[in-house]
Amino acid sequence: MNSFVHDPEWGWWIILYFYLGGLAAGCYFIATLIELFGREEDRPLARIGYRVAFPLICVCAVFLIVDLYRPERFLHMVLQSEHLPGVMLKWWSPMSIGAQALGIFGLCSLLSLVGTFRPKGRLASILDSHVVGRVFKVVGSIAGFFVAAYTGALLSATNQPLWSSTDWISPLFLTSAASGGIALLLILGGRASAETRERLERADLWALGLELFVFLIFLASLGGVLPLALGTQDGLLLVGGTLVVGLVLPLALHLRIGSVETEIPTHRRQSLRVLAAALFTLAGGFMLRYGIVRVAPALLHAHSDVRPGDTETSLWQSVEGKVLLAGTILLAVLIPLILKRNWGLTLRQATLVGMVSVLFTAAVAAYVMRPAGAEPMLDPLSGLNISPEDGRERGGGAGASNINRPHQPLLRSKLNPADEP
Amino acid sequence: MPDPVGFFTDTTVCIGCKACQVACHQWNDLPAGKGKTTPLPVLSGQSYDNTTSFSDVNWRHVKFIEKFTPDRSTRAWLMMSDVCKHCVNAPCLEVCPTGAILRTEFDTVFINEPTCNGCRDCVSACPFGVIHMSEQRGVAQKCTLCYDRLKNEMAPACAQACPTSSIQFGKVADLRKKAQQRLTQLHGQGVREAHLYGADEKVLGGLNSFYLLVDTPETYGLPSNPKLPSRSVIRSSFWGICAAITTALGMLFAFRGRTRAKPAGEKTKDVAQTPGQAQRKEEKS
Repeated sequence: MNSFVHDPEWGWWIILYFYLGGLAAGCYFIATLIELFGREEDRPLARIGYRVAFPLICVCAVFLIVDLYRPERFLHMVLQSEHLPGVMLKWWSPMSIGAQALGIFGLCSLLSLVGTFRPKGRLASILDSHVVGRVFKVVGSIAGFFVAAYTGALLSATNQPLWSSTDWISPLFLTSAASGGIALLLILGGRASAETRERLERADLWALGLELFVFLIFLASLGGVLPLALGTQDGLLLVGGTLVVGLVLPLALHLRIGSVETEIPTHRRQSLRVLAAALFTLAGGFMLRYGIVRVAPALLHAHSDVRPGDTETSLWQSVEGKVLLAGTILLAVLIPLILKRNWGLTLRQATLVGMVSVLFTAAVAAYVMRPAGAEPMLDPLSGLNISPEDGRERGGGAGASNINRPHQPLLRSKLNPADEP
Repeated sequence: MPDPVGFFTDTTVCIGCKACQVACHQWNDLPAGKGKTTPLPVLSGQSYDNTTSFSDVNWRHVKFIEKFTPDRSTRAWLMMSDVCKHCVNAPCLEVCPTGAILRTEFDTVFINEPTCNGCRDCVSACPFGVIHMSEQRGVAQKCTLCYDRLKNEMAPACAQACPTSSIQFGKVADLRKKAQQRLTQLHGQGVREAHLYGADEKVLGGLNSFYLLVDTPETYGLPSNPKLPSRSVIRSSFWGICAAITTALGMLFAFRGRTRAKPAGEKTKDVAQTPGQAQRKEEKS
């Protein structure tokens, strides 16, 4: 852990953007997937998703602009301010490519939204046509996936504590966006048929299960930083809040663990159960974003005396590592059994789920047992040098600054006072 | 194209006089305080190190590293005048989404203020905690290596003011030779722990502002192995794509598979039963 860095002070605007942007992206890609894979009777759900995505992403854009120190210059991220109207794109910088992706996502979600209001209109008929419609939905779902995941890659592409220790924030945000998007559709899609709602609930079960295992791998990938993070309030909220409120509780509700007979009518009980699961998922998704964004400054504040070498220990040497591995093994055994019992999986299906659980457990074990100071997994991929700055020779040109270079940078100089702004 | 230039800071001859900090403030017209909320400098009250860190108005920071044994019988002060490293592979420049951070013709790293919009991505990327945001100007701030003076063939203000030549300015190739000579001299005098930090390519492809240290880099507040942000992008993207494919497959299974729920409108007592119970009941019948 590098504790010599300075906190970028990304606060509430960014946390809300990560959360609402994730929900918008989740709703949108779930809606496109429903249209691509679902049945005709599921399409009202997709329409709800489209109607949620665009307003949310507009709000997010406002948050992002307000968060800038110079909001009036927000366009500098999208267009080359020194060479208008050139497009500003550094594909090796997650923030740069994310700004462009937000534009594409906004356009896709706007078209989809307009299509829902005039289902018999010309735009809707084009979007529903076989070839153009399918291409549009595939592009839209990719844009949605990208917006959901790039924020995680952005945090990893820093030198901040915890964020830079793991490559798993991106998949974690993506799976959380999926579960959050489905939860929002479960709440808003109350009028959908029982079959549609069951399919959606089954999708939520899958998304939550995936998020649970990705979260466990994320924790394991933190290595020696995990025990330090758990020593801060934000770290506790991140781990405890996400795990209990955002994952275990909604999973238990979906799996109908501990359900008892009551006086409440069964259909009402079902609605309440699904509603509670969805609300817990949404609360957990918020705790995840809040915890991750706030834990880095909390670590800087609480462990300013920690030297980089101190955290290069194997997680296996700590109690937290052993508990994490034991918990993962327990879940890997329990989940297939509970699914078989409560969701009526056949033996073959349960075996398949079991194999997936074993695969994820092996990944957690590999991270927990990783020796101190080991290179990151998939380290050979780092050698692809996507950035012109990576491997640049001393004095050998502009490197990663060849885009949007002014002819004459502005100097603050006493030698030429005319240069002063 | 001029030769790359930089600083060689020999910490063994730094006396902590802060002449470099004062010269930097004077030349660059940096205010004492941090804007309207704190117009006057805030003293740490704990050390001769009164600024305690870099800031938007402190582009140089003279560190006083106090090494005391628990019983305080042995004590030593290490001093170091720290500054932006002008990395050969610069994390801040790499991530900057507006192109405000530039590589100059002298191979130094410079923030072009009219382009910066204050997103703070560079602050999060800098492994040395150099870049800070200015409340007054609304943009990222750091050492320019006196770009205006370089253009006029003058040495940076700090190096010119340093009374002990702890901060030496020049062509990086020449500075590396000088640093090597000084290192050999110190080793000859028995200072075996002396070593160079950032003179070779190991740290971010080399640092145009490099140091001679007599303790671990961490003791001086310098990370041993800082990383270039783009290195993690491919790995993060790979796992992200895997998660996206798995999520899409899940949706395919969920929305294509058979459901157990009764069609709408059909009245039955078993609506609330679990899919498992429904299946077992079907199997019995």
